[in-house]
Amino acid sequence: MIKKAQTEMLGIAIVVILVSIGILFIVTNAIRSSGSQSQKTDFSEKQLATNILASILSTSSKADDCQGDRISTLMIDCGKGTGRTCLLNGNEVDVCEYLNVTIDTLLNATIKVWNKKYQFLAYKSLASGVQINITSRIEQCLAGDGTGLQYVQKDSYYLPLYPETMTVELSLCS
Amino acid sequence: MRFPGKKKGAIEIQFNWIFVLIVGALILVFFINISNSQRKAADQKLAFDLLSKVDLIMSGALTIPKTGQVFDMPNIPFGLECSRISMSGVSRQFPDRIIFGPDQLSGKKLIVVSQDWTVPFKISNFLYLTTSGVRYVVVANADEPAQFQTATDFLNSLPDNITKEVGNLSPTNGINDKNNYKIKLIFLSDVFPLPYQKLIDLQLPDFIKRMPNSAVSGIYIDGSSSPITVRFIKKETDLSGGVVRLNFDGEPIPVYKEPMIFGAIFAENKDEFNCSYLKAFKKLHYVSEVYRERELSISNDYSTTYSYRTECKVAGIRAPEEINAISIAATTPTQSIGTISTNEGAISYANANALRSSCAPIY
Amino acid sequence: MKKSQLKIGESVAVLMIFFVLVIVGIVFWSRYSQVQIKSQQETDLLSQAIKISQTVTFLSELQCSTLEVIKFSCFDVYKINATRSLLMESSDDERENRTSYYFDIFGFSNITVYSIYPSQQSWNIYDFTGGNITGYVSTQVPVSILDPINNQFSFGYVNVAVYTRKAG
Repeated sequence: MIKKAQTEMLGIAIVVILVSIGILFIVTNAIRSSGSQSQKTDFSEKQLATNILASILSTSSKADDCQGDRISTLMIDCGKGTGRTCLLNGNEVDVCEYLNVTIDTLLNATIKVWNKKYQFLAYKSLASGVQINITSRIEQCLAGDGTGLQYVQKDSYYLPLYPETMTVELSLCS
Repeated sequence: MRFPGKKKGAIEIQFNWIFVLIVGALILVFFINISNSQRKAADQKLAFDLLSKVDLIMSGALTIPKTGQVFDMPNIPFGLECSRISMSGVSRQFPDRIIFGPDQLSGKKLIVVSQDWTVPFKISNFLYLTTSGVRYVVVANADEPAQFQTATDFLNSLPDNITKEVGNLSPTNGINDKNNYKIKLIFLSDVFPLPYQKLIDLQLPDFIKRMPNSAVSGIYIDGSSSPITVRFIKKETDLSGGVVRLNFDGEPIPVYKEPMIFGAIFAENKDEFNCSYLKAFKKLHYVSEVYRERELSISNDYSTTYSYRTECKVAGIRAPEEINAISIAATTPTQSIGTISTNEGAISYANANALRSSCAPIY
Repeated sequence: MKKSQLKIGESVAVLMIFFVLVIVGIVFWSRYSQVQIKSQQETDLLSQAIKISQTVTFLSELQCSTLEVIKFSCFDVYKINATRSLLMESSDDERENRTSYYFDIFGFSNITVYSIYPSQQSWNIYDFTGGNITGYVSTQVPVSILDPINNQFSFGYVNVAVYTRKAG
């Protein structure tokens, strides 16, 4: 009787072991195959930052507003503090103010509508290393506790101010 | 004490074990089937991931033309057929890309080169795929220094990272076996004129004779003809005498510009080259159509909205007819390379005039 | 006899419970897989949209160029109009071949270029639904739009929407 029970226990144990190995194998595969961040999505986020920045800087202002000059040219004027003025809705404003409003318009119509969090900065570094912001942030990338930046894709352009350099930076948060 | 039915108990235990064995076997078979299907799925996933990587590599190469880039790959061969790459039953189509390469890419280093094809405006990037295991030999005799120099100059114009050399095919002092899985022989008409009989009679090194016929191919580039032609060469075994020899594969194909000549060098054979060749001319046809319509619109605007720009309305600044001629010629490329070349020259001239006059360029 | 019958009955019951558990596991697994597959399909469609948008961004038929130097992320407005006219409006003999050629590249999708600043305009350059549309997944790529006569750049974007279709 005892031998019979032991035999039966052994049989059940074998079955249980086989089933456990099978389930372990399936679960392991399921965990391994569950998603890794798509390379393509990463690549396209980086390209989005690059494309937006390149397009913004190439954009020509309205002929009546600022003689059709490109935004990159106006940014250099702003950075150098030439005192240049442009027309904004019929009013004469400083070129930096014109840039603030225009770049706002461009970003609001695109990446803000596309539900992306971003940070647009244009600043120059003086020889002393002090940074002066020229255009303000529009929509900040914030970590959960309200400080710092989340993981970003960033692209930067450099505009010559002679002798300084202006950095124009667009960061996308993901 | 004897228990009645002891024999019955003995039989019962045996049946129990048989039962356990049968059920155990069924359960094992069940899980082995699952693991097999998981393994196949894993192979397909690996193939999918690798092909995605190759796709990304090609996308990157397209943005930086005229560069040869080397990428480490797992040593898993994949197939290339016109604009399709495949591995383990998974394939990827690239209908918009023009790719030249061997039918099988095998080895740890994948080499990707891209080159712009312009006629005279940019039509497309040609992509050349190869591996370090494919050997490219420009055939020349070191005993003839002038021809050897020509061959060396041509060799230097080929992308840097590929396995390439200048050498001769003499069985005694020709090129040696370097254990390549494919070899491509390049004959230049300036260096090694190849009438049919000379090709048939050409002696080959033993290691080339031993290689499978599909692993050895060649290309004859005839620069003396106008337009330049390429003619593919295959290795075959003469059925009657068992002699291994080279022979032409098809008729000469007229090509247009260096990127197409490189395409013929990298392509596996005449049929694969022809597929990408026709794709390229098809693309030329459709891109030229767009440029033609653009020219007509710009000409119209200079006559109406911008009529004050009198310098942009003069003859010799726009070229819609010439572009249209190229678009039509592209539909019959083997007969029309001369037409394309003539009209390209006219378009370049008109474009230079447009730029000089600060008018909208043609390209 | 009864004992052995009981034994067999016991074993059969164990096996039945075992197989019931396996079947329940398979049902949950297939439900979970269906959700995974659906999510994967959406990711695949988005990947397809991104791939098409990258192809469009580098299309010779749209890109700005001066003496073979391609300007990054820039479309020529006359090329946009020409492409739109050829793909969406022309009724010449070549139309079917042209549609077939571009279908191989763009598939079931809609490609529209929008200009936002300084002027607002849009050009639908490609649209092929093939019927049985159930929805779409779209992606946007910012571009500059060049007027080559005035050498002025507008700011805009290209919207690529890949259609999801009913099977069969």
